[in-house]
This record gives sequence, C-alpha cells and structure tokens, in this order.
Amino acid sequence: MGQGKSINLFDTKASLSPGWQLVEKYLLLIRQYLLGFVLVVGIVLVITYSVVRFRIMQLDIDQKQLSQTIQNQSVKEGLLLALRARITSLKKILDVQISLAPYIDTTLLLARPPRLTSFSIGEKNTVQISVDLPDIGQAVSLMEGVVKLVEENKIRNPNLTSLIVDKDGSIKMGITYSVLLKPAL
Amino acid sequence: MRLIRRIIRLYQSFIISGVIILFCLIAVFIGIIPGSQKIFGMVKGVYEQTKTVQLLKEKINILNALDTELLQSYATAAISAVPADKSLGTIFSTIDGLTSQEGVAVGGISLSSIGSVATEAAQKLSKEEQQIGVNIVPFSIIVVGPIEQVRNVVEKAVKIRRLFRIRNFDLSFDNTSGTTKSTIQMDAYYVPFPKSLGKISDSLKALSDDEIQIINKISALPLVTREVPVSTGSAQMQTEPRSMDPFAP
Repeated sequence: MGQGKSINLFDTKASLSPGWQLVEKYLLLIRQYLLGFVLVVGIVLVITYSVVRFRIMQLDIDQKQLSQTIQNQSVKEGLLLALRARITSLKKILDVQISLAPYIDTTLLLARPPRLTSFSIGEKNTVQISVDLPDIGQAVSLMEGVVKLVEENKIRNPNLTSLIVDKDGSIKMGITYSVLLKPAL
Repeated sequence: MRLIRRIIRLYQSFIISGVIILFCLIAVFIGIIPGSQKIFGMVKGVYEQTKTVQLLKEKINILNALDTELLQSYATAAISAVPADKSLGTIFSTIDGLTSQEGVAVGGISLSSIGSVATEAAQKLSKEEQQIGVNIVPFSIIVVGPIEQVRNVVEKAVKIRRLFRIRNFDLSFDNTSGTTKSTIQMDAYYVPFPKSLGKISDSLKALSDDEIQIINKISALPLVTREVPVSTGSAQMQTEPRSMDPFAP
C-alpha cells in the first residue's frame, strides 16, 4: 500500500529490487559512455578520412605532373640507364682484360729468331719454347737468363724439357715456364 | 498480455539501455573498426605515395642536372668500345687499323660461330659469355711481320677502344725472310641495348665517380676505327613498361 501524501491506492511505478536498480544504474552509465565513444570516434574518423582523402588527391595530382615531366625527359633517362648498363658491362670486361705480351717479352729476353725456333702457349700460363744454340757456352748463358728471370719474378717453374747435342756441337733445347700475367688496363 | 506489459513497464530502462548498447556495438563492429582499418590503409598509402612523389622529385632534379652532351659523349665512347651488336665492320676496321699502325701484314681473318649477323637479345649465351656477363664474337687473325711488331699487336689489341680479348696465340718463325707469323685467337665483345626503361617510379642515380672513372678510362683508349654516331632523336611517350632504345635513329 502507498504511504505518504499520495492519494493513489496503488504504486504508479513498478519497483525493482535493489540489485536490479544497481544494474540499471550501471547500464545507464555504460550506454552514455558507449554513445559518447561512438560519437567522438565517428567524428574523428570522418575528419581523418576527409583529410587523408584530400591529401591523396593532392598527391595524385603531384604524381601525375611529376610523371609527365619525367616522361618528357625519357630520352635523357634512357641514355643514362643504357650508359649505366654499358658501364657495368665495361667493368666486367676490364676485370678479365689481360695482356698476353709478357709471353713474348719473356721469351725475347731468353732467345730471338733465328735461335728461337718454336713458341707455343700451354695451359696454366705456360710457355714452351725450342731454341737452337751453336755451342754449350750459349746454352749456359740461356740457363743463366732463365734463373735471372725467375729471380726477377717474371717467370715461374722453369723446366728443361729436352736437350740434344749434335755432332757439330750445336745444342737444341726445349724449355717450359709459366708467366705472371697482369691486367691489361 | 498484461504480464508482458507489466514486464515491459518494469524493465523499460533495461530495454532502452540494451538497444542503445547493441546499437553502439554494431556501430563499432560495422562502422568504426572497418572504417579505422580503411583509414589506416589510406594513411599507409599516403605514406608510400609521399615517398614516391619525393622520389620523382629527386629523379627530376637528377634529370635536370644531367648534361645531355656529356652523356652522349660518354655513350659514344662506351659504344665504340663495346657495340650493341656484333658489328663485324668495326672488328675488321679495328684489326685493319691496328695492324697497319704496327706495320704487320694481315694474312687472314676468320670468324667462327658468329651465327646471325644481327644481334638477338634473347640469344642463348655461352657458358663463357655468362661468366663475363657480355656477348662475345670469337675470331682469329693471322699476322706476319717482325717479331717486335707482332708482339706490339698482341700488346695493343687489348688496349684499344674496340675492346678485344686475346684467348690464345702462337708464333712460327721464317728464318729466310726473318718474319714471324702469329695466329691470334681473339674475342670481340658486344652488349645489346636494354629493352625497357622500367617504371617511372624507379629510382634514378647520377653516374658515380667510379662509373665516370671507368668511362674516362675507356675514352682514353686509342680508337683505331671510326666512331659510331649516337642518335639524339627524341623518344615517343609510351605507357609502362616503356620500351627503350635511346641510341636508335
């Protein structure tokens, strides 16, 4: 039954238990915060989207203009890129460019035609030469020359492959050695 | 019905709060989260695009700073050293120039496995070519003359602007005439032009000091054949990937 100054015989409002009233109170708070959150975040997102969209449009315009400028200079760009590719190839070539002249230079330091009768290049930078010499003295002199070139580090691994002494005292010698080659450029 | 109305009246505030909370949750999952993801993606896109625009600006600065005439002189030197095709004419004229300069006679020139005279970009490279990274035309020449001059040909053949490599050589001596005959096996190099420029947004760098040093080294080599002219014709605008032959007439 109602109490106090109300003249109604029944309660106009259905009453909840204190537990449910507490839940109702928190639900009110939660819905307020959630609504606030959705509203604020929504506004922030809309503003951010507008700003980003505007920036994208600006960048699109800039990019188109810059691309056009680059297209207008495509010949120059092509020249630079082609040149760079060619320089890369040139570098590779220069790296393997070796002068073979030391093969002849070292041989000429030992003997010249007509004493030098044959010359050939073998594997691993080796040179094979045949020399006809009139006497043993010149053969000794040649061997001294070989030793000198080894000491000067111009040739390595000298080998006397053949030695034939004729009845007239002339000597035929076969010598092999390897040459130190250097880059040509 | 009366019971339902009573329940509704009793729990009215719960129902309103629940609807609002449900609405907020739907807004979060349908609007806010996907929207945030989209904006995040757009921001990332803006970041990338800003970098691209910056790169294009730098590229334009580099292109504006380039001296076209200097580039063309570099290109001329580079092409005269390593042509874009087999260029048999320059091989012959260089050999001719070199041997006449050194005073030796050419007993013969032979080209082996040259295939098509025209360059094929897609031609399969030999193992050796793959090792060096450039195409080669093998050939051999027979030179006859005094041994010193023959030696000079061997020495200078690898130090002239049309770059050659000596693979091997032999010497034979004619004691009656006092001349030396040498068969020199050589390789001439060639590198086809690149076929495309790539994307406009690809970065571009000016020539480095090392690259200029290499080109200067090549330019300093004596040219014993006539130079290959480089065209200055303008290229037409094309869509990506842009095809390219800046030296084409």
